[in-house]
Amino acid sequence: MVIQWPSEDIRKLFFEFNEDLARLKENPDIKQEKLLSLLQGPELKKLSFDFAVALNTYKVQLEAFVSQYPPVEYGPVTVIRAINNKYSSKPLGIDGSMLQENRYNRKGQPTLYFSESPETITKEITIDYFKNHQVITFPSELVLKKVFDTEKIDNTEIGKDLLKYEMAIFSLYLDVVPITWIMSDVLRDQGFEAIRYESVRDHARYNLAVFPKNFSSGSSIKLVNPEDGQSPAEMNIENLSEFLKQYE
Amino acid sequence: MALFASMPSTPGLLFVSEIEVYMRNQAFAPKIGKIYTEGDPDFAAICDLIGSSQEVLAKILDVSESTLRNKRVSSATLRKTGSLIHILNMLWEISGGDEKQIRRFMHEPRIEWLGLTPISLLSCGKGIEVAKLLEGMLDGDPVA
Repeated sequence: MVIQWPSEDIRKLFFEFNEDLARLKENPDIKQEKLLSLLQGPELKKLSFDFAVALNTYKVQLEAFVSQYPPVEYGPVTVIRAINNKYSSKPLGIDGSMLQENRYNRKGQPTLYFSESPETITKEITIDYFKNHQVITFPSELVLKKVFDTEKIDNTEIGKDLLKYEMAIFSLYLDVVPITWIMSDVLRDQGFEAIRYESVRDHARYNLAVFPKNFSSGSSIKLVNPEDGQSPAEMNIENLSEFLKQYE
Repeated sequence: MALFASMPSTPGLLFVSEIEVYMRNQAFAPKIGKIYTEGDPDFAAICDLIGSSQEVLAKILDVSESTLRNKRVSSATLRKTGSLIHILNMLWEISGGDEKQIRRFMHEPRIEWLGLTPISLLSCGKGIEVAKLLEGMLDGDPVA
């Protein structure tokens, strides 16, 4: 099954808009007025409206596609978990996703993010000069039974090219829900344990957003070198309910 | 345009929440003593902290420059200032009170917004994006 856009014109406009932005981004002397006029211009308002309608249709088509998609297994693979320093005592905690929205979670949707490469983490931290904002990393071993792996899916099938834009394209410029949230909602509803997706800021390298509520037998996340006082050191179907209770 | 003006609505299930709803439960307790004088916001001190002119601050708060020069701050102006204070409070916390870093952040084009600066967003009624970025840095996960 291939997901069709309701209108090729909308798809074309979206990519033209992104090309405009890319040209402005490449300019080291970015003119704020130009970006603001783009942000507030009538063309974008029209695109925003049409895009919101298109996304509703996209969601319906995606649900049908995902229901036919055979999940893939993943791991055991050692990946990197990056968290806010304040959560250092529980590297496998879901505090971040419970308190804040992110690429594949709305606020309050339990999610753990991992990168397959330490370089990706470095590229994704965009502000490194604040004293009280420090990120720490933990190698973790993932074994997952039901993954939606976007690398293994043809681009045209799910509009994959739309997933690798900054969230601001959707929430700020187009004023619609990020398409990655629609993807995440659909995958969670259909029992997937994770999505493997291309990093926005480190193209060709992959991240995972893991949805622990959907864990099945045999799936687990383990800290590779747990330190004293870090709990839990492993998350699996056996200790999942107890773990999630802390956040109720 | 107001600092946190309502965003235009879009059809269907795909709405972006309005800032008024979003900010309703945020704490506006003052943390930065230097931007208050006798309990009221000191607009000159705020300009200094964000590294912008009074003209820019007036645009951010959607008030006239003369309003900012008044000794008495009306409740309407105070309400409009609350959202900016919330942002400054978070910046103060993240930076450990480093005013130079706060000014740098305010004027730095951000990849997250495809090149826009926090000051630009605040000036065009999209301050919610600045608040979300900082809240994410304080409590969220650092993966994009």
